[in-house]
Amino acid sequence: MGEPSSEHLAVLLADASKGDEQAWRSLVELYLPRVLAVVRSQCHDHDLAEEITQSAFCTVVSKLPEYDEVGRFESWLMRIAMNRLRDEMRRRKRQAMPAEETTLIGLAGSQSQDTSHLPIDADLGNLGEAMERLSAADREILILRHVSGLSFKELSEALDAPVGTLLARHHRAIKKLKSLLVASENAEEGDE
Amino acid sequence: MSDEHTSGYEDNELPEDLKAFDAAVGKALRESVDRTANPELVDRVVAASLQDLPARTLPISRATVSRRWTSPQFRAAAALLFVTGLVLVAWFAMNSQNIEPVKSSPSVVVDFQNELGIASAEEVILVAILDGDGVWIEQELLDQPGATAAEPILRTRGTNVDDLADEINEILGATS
Repeated sequence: MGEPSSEHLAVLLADASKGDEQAWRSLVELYLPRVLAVVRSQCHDHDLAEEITQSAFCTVVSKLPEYDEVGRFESWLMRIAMNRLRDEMRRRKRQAMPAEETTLIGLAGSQSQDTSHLPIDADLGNLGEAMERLSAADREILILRHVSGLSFKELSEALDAPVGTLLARHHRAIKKLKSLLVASENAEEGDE
Repeated sequence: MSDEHTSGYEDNELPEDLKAFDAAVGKALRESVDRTANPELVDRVVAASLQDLPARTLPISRATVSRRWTSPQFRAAAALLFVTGLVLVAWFAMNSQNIEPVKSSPSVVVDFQNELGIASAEEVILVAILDGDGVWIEQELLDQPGATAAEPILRTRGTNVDDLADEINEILGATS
């Protein structure tokens, strides 16, 4: 499903605010995959990611009549999802052993480099392969930055991480990815 | 979304040679994510969130009221029922005036006599008629001047028409 135009999104939001179930379903279909991908990239728990995604949409639907920023709907939705995720991770952190880093990125970086939770399909080709060769932390900042649609400032607020930290990680990740792709292309040319 | 996505970009974070590459990576990742949609999860999320859809919490609209209750036929039947009810109430009210009055208690008759002192002949006759069992009328009443008018009534107490047949025939024979 492609990106909706601003006009189409405005119509869907207006109809859903009036109780149009089909309009609401369309909004869920449009944005659920991205919300799920972002949440999954952070919590590494598929069931929890689905639960938080569902919770985020339930919050959004109840606040639809109050929302009037059509152009920032996705950002608004992502902020709600990230806040839900942050609250849940804090709750779990309080119940678990204290970690060295308190941010979600820190928790993600300390995990094993398991790629099964990343929403990358085979059609990405070389890009997909290169992504898999990145560290988990690098993959996650790229997914967070590009799939959530949030600015670094908004990500900083959602993740309780300094903007500088996020910028640096993103810069490092994109540089590494590019070098991996270049190396892969050179290797292919060398084989020819 | 690409315009809105890059509009939130802090320009000083990436060198120029990486900006285009970063944008291309972002586009590819978003398209990849969109292709991983899970229809079952969509159904679950929609089902869980429908109850909070705004219009579902509003009061029942007029459109949900059955047309049966607003049809002209129903209104006519309701009006007829109302009028019938009014007629019945009025009829019962009118007929309540024709109901035989409950016999006054003896104490009421005695009090009446005591208040007026002297009972008129009509009053004595009335008491005699009402007092079919001879329970109410008292000697004091019979001593009143008007009591003589009640004698025929008192004499016929306990008798019926058959018993008076001879007297009636005598009267009729005398007048014919």
